[in-house]
Amino acid sequence: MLFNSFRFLLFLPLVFILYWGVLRARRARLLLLLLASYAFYMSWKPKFLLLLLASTTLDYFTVKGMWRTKSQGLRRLLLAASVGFNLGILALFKYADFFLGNATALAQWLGLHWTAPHLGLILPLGISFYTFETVSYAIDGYYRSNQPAARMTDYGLFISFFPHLIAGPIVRPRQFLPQLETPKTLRAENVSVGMTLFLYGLVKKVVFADRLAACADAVFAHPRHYGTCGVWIGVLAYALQIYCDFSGYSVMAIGLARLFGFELPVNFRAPYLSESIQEFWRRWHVTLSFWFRDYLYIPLARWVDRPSGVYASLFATMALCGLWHGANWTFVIWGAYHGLLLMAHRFWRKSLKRWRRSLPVPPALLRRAAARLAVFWLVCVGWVFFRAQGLGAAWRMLTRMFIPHAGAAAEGAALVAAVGVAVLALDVMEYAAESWEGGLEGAIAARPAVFRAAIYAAAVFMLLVWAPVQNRPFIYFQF
Amino acid sequence: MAPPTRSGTSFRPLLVELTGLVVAVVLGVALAEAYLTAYNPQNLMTPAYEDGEGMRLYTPDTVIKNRNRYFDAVYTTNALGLRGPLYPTAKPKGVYRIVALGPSFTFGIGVDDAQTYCRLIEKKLQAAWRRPVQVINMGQPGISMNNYEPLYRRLIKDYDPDLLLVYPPLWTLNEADVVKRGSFYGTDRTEIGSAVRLRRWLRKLRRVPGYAFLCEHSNLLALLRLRVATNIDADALARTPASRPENGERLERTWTRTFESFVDAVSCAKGAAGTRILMLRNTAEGRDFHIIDRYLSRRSARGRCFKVLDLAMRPEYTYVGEGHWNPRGHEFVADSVVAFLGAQKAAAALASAR
Repeated sequence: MLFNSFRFLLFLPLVFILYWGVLRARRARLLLLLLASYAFYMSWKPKFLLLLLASTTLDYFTVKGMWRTKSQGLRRLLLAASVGFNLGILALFKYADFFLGNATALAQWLGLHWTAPHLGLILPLGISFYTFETVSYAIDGYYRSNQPAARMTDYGLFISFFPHLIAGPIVRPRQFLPQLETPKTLRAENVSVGMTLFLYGLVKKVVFADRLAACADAVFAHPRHYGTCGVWIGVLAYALQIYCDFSGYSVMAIGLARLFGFELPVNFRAPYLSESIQEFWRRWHVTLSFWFRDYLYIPLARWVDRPSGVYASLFATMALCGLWHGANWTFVIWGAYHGLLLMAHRFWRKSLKRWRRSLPVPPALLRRAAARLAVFWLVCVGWVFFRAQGLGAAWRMLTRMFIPHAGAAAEGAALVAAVGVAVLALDVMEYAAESWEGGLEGAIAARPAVFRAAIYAAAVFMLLVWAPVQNRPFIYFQF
Repeated sequence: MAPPTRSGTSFRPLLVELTGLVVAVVLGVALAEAYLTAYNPQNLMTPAYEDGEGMRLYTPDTVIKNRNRYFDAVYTTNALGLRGPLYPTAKPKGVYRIVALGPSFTFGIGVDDAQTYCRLIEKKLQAAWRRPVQVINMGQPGISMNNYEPLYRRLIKDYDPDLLLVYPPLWTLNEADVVKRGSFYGTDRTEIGSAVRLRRWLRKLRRVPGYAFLCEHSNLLALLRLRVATNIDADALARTPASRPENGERLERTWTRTFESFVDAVSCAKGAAGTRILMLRNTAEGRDFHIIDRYLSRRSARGRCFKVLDLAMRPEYTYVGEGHWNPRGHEFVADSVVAFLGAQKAAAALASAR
């Protein structure tokens, strides 16, 4: 069930009315949300709920066990069981065929007549996201950095809460579990902020991302037909599409959670306005990059404990981040590319400090604008690996981007320009809202109802008139 | 139930918010309706209907305006509900007659009557051969592979064509399992089945005066109907067996059997050397159909009456985001067919001279 589907249009009001209008007891409401979340998940393939339930049950009891036992050995064993099970399931469903395929290719390269079996497993929806949540719960439980869930239903809701179940934001236990203990009341502020954010995300996804998709798809499917300019337009279209698609989903998830009185962490903070690649990763898919930082990069860097080790950890973390996105070498290269950019940035910032000081300093406005353009350009180049079907396709795109080629101009250049301007305006607003008291959500709530009604009317108009005829699933659903 | 004051809920701001939402939705809908009416009018009446056998035909003798963000085209149907001029069934002497069979691409969704490849082929062949040529467009949007043979027996055979120009939609692989049911347009279990059921249900609703009024006048409702139907199609398609990779081979075999049955029916009608079939195959579809490809190569090489013409459609030949061929695409198809037929004719002349 997609947030932009007609079925969800029926599902959401039904759950909302039952939650606030019919049920009064806190536990009954939480139970309703849990059941609704499971129903939401089952609307895709019911059998994969069993996997979610198995993971939930195992983690709940292992973390409980970690808190009860005083034996360090047993705690380690429980942590290994929990993390091993969850990552093992993820590896089986997501990466088994990738590794088996590579093993076959390697064997054939070595001259061996051996072919690995092809499992052809379907990737359960949202597994990459909820696995990271279960792993963080187990690791936090091992270090006793937060209290375990009081009840299994609470933990089940933390993992399966439908706004974030399929594609994040990746929520930490300490961000969500305490919210289950506080009584919820239906407040106008939550409804207004929730509705506004939901519609804002829906417009970003349906009106911007889905309309750009046709242009990006055409160019990436047949790069040979397009000239250098056309290919660049396609890449720009994809850069805007993936941003609007995923940030739109994240904002919708945050808005939906607010409708039920919950707060989810922000996932995107105007990333294309970043002045450095490091800042980009603090603004793009924030919950994922912070997860990798806290659970992989910092432990790795500490373990290596050498300046060169920090660079190696950075590179390894980003390559794994790429692999998390998909079982394909293109994703690994995309991650490694960002790892190299981060290493270069760190080297520039730390090691070339003295040399940098000797350089003339351009005016701040010019410097910041140039830095933003450079970061955006570098990120766009990276998207080629992310979007291309294979390394050959990525190479074809890159050669046409950097070596002038004649060919067709991509259709939709005007659309890319219009959406680009709209996204820039929205990002500038989000960027500015960071310094406002209460942020964007506070600003929405503080405005009079007429102002919000105008936003709702504009959103309804855009959704009715400019949405493409056919719905498209969210890009990050495949991960 | 606890009273509102105890639950901590303050109802006045909530009421204001919800009232604002309702007013905003009404305002948004009104603005959308006004905008669509002024800049992007929709088809207010569904131009297609289903006959007694479930076959979807366009309303006879109708001029249909199809305008959206991709194109602005006019379709004119003849007394049979087919696109283009109505030719008498009896073939005049000396006339070379082609019947074009296929889905919406053959019908020519998105291009004007004169821009369809059928009309272009007719014009170009007449100029090249200096003899009368008739091309009868029997393209039906949404046609399935399993409709070809019954359509041939029912309608095409009477026209006694010299050539059948077939564009078999490979997307009907998804519908192959309905062949068993033996219905003419077995759409009930196909990807378009749900949309058909929805349309029937909506048609029943037209008895309600308000809804009937909106159907006649609302551009927005027409657009929403199209969106609902399209998305129901897509949902249903995702659930069809064809979406499972393991069923691909089985469906390819079924499709091939169905197509073979059609080719046999046509070949047998006038003997092996009689009516010829020229199949158009779009090689840019991006999918590999090994079984179908093997069958087509074998059959094409073996029989004189069946040939395959590969069309490498380029992205600039389609409406990006919509998918149908634009006027350049139709021009390309027509040129390819005319070139192929010209070469065939030259080869035949050479063979007879020898």
